[in-house]
Amino acid sequence: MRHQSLLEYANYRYFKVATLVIALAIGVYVWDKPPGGPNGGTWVGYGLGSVGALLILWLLWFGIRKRRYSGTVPLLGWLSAHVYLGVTLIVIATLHAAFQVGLNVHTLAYLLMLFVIFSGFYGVYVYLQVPRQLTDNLGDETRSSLLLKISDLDKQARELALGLPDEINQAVMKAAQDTRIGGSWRRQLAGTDPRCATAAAVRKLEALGKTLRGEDASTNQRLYTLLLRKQEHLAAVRRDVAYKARLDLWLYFHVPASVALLAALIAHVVSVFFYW
Amino acid sequence: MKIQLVKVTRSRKGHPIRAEGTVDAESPVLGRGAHCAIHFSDPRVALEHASISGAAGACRASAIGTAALNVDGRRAGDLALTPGTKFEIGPYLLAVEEPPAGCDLALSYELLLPLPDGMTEIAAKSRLSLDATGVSKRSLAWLGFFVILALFLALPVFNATTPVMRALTADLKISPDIAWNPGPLASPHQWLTYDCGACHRLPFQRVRDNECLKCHENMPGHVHDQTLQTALFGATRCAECHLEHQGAKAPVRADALLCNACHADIKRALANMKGALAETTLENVGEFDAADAASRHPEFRLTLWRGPKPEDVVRVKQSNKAALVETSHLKFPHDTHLKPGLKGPDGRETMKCGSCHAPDSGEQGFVPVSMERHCLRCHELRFEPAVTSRQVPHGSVDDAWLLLQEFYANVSLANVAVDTVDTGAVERRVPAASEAIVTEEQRRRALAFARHKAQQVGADLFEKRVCVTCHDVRRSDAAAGGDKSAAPWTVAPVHVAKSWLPHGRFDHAKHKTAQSECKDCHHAERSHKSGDVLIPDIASCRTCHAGTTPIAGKVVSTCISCHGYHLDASGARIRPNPAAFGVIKQ
Repeated sequence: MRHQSLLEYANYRYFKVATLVIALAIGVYVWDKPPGGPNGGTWVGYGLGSVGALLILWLLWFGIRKRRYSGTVPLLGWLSAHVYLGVTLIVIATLHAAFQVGLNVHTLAYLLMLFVIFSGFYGVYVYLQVPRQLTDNLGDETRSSLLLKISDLDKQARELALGLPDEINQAVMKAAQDTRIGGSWRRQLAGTDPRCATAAAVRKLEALGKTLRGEDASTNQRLYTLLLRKQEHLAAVRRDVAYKARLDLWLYFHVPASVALLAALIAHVVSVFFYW
Repeated sequence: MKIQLVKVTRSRKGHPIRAEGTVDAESPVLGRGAHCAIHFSDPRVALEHASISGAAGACRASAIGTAALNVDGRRAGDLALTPGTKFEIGPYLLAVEEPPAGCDLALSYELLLPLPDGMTEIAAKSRLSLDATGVSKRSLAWLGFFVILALFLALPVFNATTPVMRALTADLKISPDIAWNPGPLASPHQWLTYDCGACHRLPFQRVRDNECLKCHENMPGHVHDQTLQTALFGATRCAECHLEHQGAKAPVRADALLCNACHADIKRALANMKGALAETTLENVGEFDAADAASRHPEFRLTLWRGPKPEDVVRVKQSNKAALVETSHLKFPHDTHLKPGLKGPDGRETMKCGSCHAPDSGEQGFVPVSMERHCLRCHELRFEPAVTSRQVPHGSVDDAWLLLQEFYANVSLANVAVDTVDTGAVERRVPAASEAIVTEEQRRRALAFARHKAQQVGADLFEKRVCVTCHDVRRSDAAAGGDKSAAPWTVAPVHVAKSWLPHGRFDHAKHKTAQSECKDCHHAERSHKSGDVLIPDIASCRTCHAGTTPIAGKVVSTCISCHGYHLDASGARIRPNPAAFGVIKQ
């Protein structure tokens, strides 16, 4: 069976559902001619608002559903519905508000909702793009197999360096001890490390190697090759970390903003009826 | 030099395990290098770290180059190796022991800090996921959740429900619940922006009329009739129609729906009313320009005065031409006056509409036409043009009659020649009095002359030549009955309508466009009788006005484009029977 993306799930079932929902919402909004013009307080306004609020609760439920491994609809189906029905909220909420905005908690909820939805769009983009990049980057390796190889290379390099001058030995030891992968958000997302200790050791070996003669020179040559391989592996792991970080990053906005949206939604609904 | 070398390792329980060996070398070197006599295979030891020299009992260790020997954490370049001495080389701890027989020196060494294995080392120094940096989605989510709930829910609710808190925040420039305000208040209410509780008195209850009536307590109802007011609005909250928080404009509905709710089927709406209301003659109104006649605005019914009382009015459909006759008791042919080249006091002239109809100060309507300002210039009221340029006063028959009698009494007494009219047997001249005293007989004759003359001239003036041109003049019944003080004629009071559509609003200034002329709507040049009503019909309104749906080249019009909400054109609340729709001149 061909791999199905979350957008194509079940022959675009939820795309069709979302299109229908949007068409219905627009139809009802256009059909209704409430006295004083459309706003959130007309019956159509209340209706769209209720549908929107229930939809938000259902979309939030995905955060719980995805942690469960049972259910009749597979998680991919839930995700597909989550994405498409999330899009309908833009229309439903905008029509509920009747295009009215202001400096208030109601518009705060609206803006948070838009932020959650658009961060979700980025999430969909990332989920469709990054996994391929992840696989292309690692090939047959895994992150831990690469880390194992790196530590093996470190061990070999240290042993080789034991017989070489102190400066080279120290550079090799520093390369083993001070090499960091990832780090801060910026470093993880960048996927490179300009202060990489291994890269520094490689540069040092290039310079010092010229002063060596005889067996030391050939040992140094072998050592240099080892460090270059380690550098390649490091680059691959760092790219892997960067891709993983990109996969995760948008959730740091999407998830907290959606929980904040829940709070704003509660405040919005309570305030509207508190001061009816 | 022979040295006993003891390698110390530890059992699982921590007990030392000693492996002894000997080294025999001249000035042995300690170091990482394979050539060193005492070899430590650890990258943290220098290639050649230290050398040992001296004889048995007086051995010394000396560091080579930049390498260091550490004794209790202090660097030492040179060290006497007496039994009991301990020092460190890289990660190794070395201890000098009592040398056994045959050895010059005994050294034990133990690796204190083994090299960490690569995986753990890398893992310890790396942060391989965003979660590992200590920023957690969950804590961010909780933070946002509680900050928003506290600021935008708990604080406003606390403020609204706690009188102490309300008192504290009353004078603040910004109120804790301001974030709940869904939109700007109408301009008359904007001073209440920071006092939500002024209208939103009870939580989870709609705004009550009580709160509106605190300020608007003396407001009359929407309709004058109290029964109708109660029947129509008794169960309706003010705020149902007067929607607030919709911006600075007045919270007044302007949609046709509001009117159509009753007026689309007005008889049914008023079916439960009592008295005159149940028998309303109002017609149903739907869209202004609806295609089917049943639901569009009906044709105009003009309000016409029939008299004699001011409130005696009838409403006549414009299509009912036979009944559509104005009873102003005035004779005025518009067509005659609009003919070009009329003979005027200063020669030939051509009158226009504006010659008589001058816009009022607001240019909404017109200043009433007046005899003195507009007619008198041509229609003079002279009665004895050969002798005097005097005219009888306009507006009062009694005054005119009095003036005529006084004038001819004076003529008689002063012997003025006015014999243009044959007076028959009555002598004009009073015989000359020798003592300048008029006798009783002379006075009686003079008065008889004056009355007779005034009667003659008045009849000519009122009945034939002047007044009758415009007015409805009759012989006075009182005078015919012998009342000598009464004037011999009566003139029917003139009623000039001010508006034929008192329930509608029409602003002439707003209808002045580059193309428009008076005659586009008012066909005065074709009107010969003052009974003609020159008000355009609704079809001519529809040439420019559409209903609520936009049509190319037409103005979208709702009910309140022309009508007030149960108000007449002057803004007064409509009463079931309007008292007066015009001005009456006696």
